[in-house]
Amino acid sequence: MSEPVLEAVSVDVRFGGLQALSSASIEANTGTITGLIGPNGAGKTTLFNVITGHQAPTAGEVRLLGKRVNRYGVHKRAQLGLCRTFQKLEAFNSLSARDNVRVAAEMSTSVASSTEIADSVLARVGLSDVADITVGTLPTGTARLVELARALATKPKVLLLDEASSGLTEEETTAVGDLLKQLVAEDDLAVLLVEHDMSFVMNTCSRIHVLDFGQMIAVGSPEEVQNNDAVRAAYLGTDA
Amino acid sequence: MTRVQLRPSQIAALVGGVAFLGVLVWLNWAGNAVTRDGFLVATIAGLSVGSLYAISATGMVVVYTTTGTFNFAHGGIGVFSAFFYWELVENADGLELPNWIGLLVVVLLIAPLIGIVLDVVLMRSLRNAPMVVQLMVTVGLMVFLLTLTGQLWQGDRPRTIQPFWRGSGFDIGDFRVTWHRFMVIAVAALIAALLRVLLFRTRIGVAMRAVVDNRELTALNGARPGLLSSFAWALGASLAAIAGILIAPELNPLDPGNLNNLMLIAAITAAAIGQLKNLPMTVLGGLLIGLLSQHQARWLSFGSDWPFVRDAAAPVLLFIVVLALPQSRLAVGRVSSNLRPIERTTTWWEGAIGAVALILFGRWFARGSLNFGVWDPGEWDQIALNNGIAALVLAMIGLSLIPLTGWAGQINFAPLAFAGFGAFIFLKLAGESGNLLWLPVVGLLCAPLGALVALFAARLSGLYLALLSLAFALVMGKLVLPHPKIFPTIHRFEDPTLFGWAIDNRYDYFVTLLVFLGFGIFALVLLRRSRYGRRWIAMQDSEAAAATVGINTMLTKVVVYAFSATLAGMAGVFWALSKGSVDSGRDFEVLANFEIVLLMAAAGVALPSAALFLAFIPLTQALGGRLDDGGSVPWLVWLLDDFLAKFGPGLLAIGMVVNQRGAIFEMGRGFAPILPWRRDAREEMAQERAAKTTAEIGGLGLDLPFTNETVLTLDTELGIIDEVTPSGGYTHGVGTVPR
Repeated sequence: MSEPVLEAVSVDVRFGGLQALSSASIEANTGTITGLIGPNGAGKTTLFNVITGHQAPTAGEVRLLGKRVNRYGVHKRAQLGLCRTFQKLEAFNSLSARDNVRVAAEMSTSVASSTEIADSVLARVGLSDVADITVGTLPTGTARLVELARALATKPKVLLLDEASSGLTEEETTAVGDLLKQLVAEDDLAVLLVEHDMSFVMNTCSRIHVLDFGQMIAVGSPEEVQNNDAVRAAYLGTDA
Repeated sequence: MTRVQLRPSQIAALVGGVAFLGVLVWLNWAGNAVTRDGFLVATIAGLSVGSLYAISATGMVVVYTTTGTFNFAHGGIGVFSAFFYWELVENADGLELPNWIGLLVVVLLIAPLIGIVLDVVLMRSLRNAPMVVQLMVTVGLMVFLLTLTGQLWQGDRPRTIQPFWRGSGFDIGDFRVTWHRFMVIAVAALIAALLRVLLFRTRIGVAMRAVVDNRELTALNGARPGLLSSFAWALGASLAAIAGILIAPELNPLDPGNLNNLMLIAAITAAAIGQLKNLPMTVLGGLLIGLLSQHQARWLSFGSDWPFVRDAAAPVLLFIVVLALPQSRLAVGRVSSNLRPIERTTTWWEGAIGAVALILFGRWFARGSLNFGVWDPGEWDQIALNNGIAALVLAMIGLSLIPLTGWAGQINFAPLAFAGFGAFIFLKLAGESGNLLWLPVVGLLCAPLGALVALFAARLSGLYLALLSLAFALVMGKLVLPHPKIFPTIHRFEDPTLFGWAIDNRYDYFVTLLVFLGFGIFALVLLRRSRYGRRWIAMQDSEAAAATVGINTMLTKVVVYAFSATLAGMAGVFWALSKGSVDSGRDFEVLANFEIVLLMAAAGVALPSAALFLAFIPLTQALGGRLDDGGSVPWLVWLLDDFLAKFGPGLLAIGMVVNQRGAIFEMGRGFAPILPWRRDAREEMAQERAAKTTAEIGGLGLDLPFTNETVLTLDTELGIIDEVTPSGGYTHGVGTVPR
């Protein structure tokens, strides 16, 4: 396998007395969907924040396309091809769905072609009908898809999805899963996602990392992870 | 208890601030001999004044922590109370109550009543409003209270409030210390002790402290947030009243604006020192400001170069505190739900039509056509034309807020500071010639000042940003712009020229301004449609998300501030030229800034046409004045000149309680469906109507009372209705519901 497009190596994050992450490592490869799971408060979003630059790590390293990006700000990592969605919805609420996507597309292309890109991306996630609607007035699930479309419009090399399926209906969740598989197969893309919906994770991801109390307790294929004793203990709270 | 950790930049700011103070002291030492007596007297005076600042700030913090509203009207309540006290105690034609009784009546009766009424009528409905709206409503309330006080107690004669015991006291060396000062210190200590007991030993106090941490959770545990917020407002108003009444003797004769500035700025600074939540630190902050100002008055002499330096200690301190102190997490207002379902931006040709219409209408107005047949037709007189010019200049300054506050979400209380800077640059470049060709150069040179403010502001958001811009406005208005090396105290300009054409009469100047303003509005319409407009709005909606799509938010803020400063600076040139002279001591009053920001917010600061709303005050005055000449409709004159022109701005801002997106926004929304090309607006209206119906069915029994009709609807929908009785009641499967 070639070098991972994104690597986080031995990341430590400490908030005062709380060790949110200790020596956590994760990687994402082009053409695959990697899952990151773990109980509430395990440090999943913190790890995402370290990768995207929203949170500075106490120790450790983030490498993007083989380049150390620890000192890069969020926007600079984004310009290198790293984009994300948020657990708590962060859409541009007062803009239309189309303009949400255009803002992202415009960062690299002209105004005219950004409209085309926006419309094609919106069509791809199935939002053509609501392109003119103000995102703040859309239901949460739909706004989440706008966020996904916005991220795709940046033409990312690595896409981080924080709870992409929350607020979505079952059909929408399945559609998102299919879309992601299609994207990594066709485009030059690696996906890393945090998820609570286990069936979504198991069906979509080819590789899964499990985080508990800030530490990686297991890595492997969905089957391996499902049969891992430490993972069962973390989720079920037994000493199995 | 978390340990306070200072970042290197914060340490640098602190060290810089202290060094600046050191240099200031060294340069301006008055040469008074430092004696024990002198030191003691200044300290007592400082503690006394500081106690009052502390009381006032404490009230502000209690209201903020309990209700989440940062109350800019706090000083205004104190001012109103002080005048009310004057009416009860000092007015020779009034009741002439003993001062103790007057104090008790105002502090325990009048002020709490004001607080409770404000809470119930206005503030409760703002609980979930965006921070900008909350802020603007309280600023509007402040302006309203000051106007009301000024109108009730007009400036026909000087009013004074005597210190308690008529100023008797005792001597320390050559100095006299009044009993009043000691009483103030004792009252402050008593209040601090009572507050401590209230907050830690009583049910309501514990609930108030709990609300600070988590409002919803406190409510779930049986506290009553409504009662708590009314109590906090009553308490806050009482504390403002005590401070206002007892500090008034320092400022005789009474003036609403001066008293408000003194109380408000000191209270805000002390509250910021307490990080808007910590009462002991707030009290210390108040004392510190009092001591600083009194010792400064005794030992330092700034001469005539710094005419307003006495009022500048608190603003400078505020500036340092906002930048240097670590900030506590703020109560965050929710995003307004008052969005248009269909997002639409003004098209370029709509903007063009609007600009041309503005110019044509303006010319028609200036030619005196707007007389409704009341007066003899004739030339629109010079005063009215001057008002028209003032209106256009205000609108130009207002334009600078549209990209900055309306799109990028950066609250700015200092538009006049930028405008004043522009006027100053113009003066240096063009001398007195008034050559408008310098305009673009002035604009370019103003940009760095905006960028500088952005560097300070970039780390801040919401309320702290508002406070920083307020401090900036004060420092510019009190220290920088009135400095004689910058502006001669009163500076005159000659008639403006453009390409050698002398604009030597008011009508030509008015039309020139119209053209520039129309062009400015059109340019902003285009900008809003460009990628920059979208990008700036995106940054306001979510800074985190903007960064993840690759927007450099720091750089973007610098650009927006620089652009806004450019617009304001160029507007400042027109402003200086329109007045023909600039009085640097008065023209940069912070209150004038407030009125501009208020009217823009009330109009809807995201829309370029909102700037026209700023024309409101000068135009109502112009109309009122014109009608006055006619002499035929006194009530209309009163309405326009005395009521709308004076109370309008405050009332409009208070109106944001019901209309958060602003007047222009709602007017446009009501008007748009009539326009033949606005199919989207008609669709939007239909959609809203549909949404409302669904909401009503969905909200059955929850938000709406469960009436017979709703039961009937429900039963019909469910197909379980048995029989409708002719008498009006009806029966169904379960029983009879009486009407």
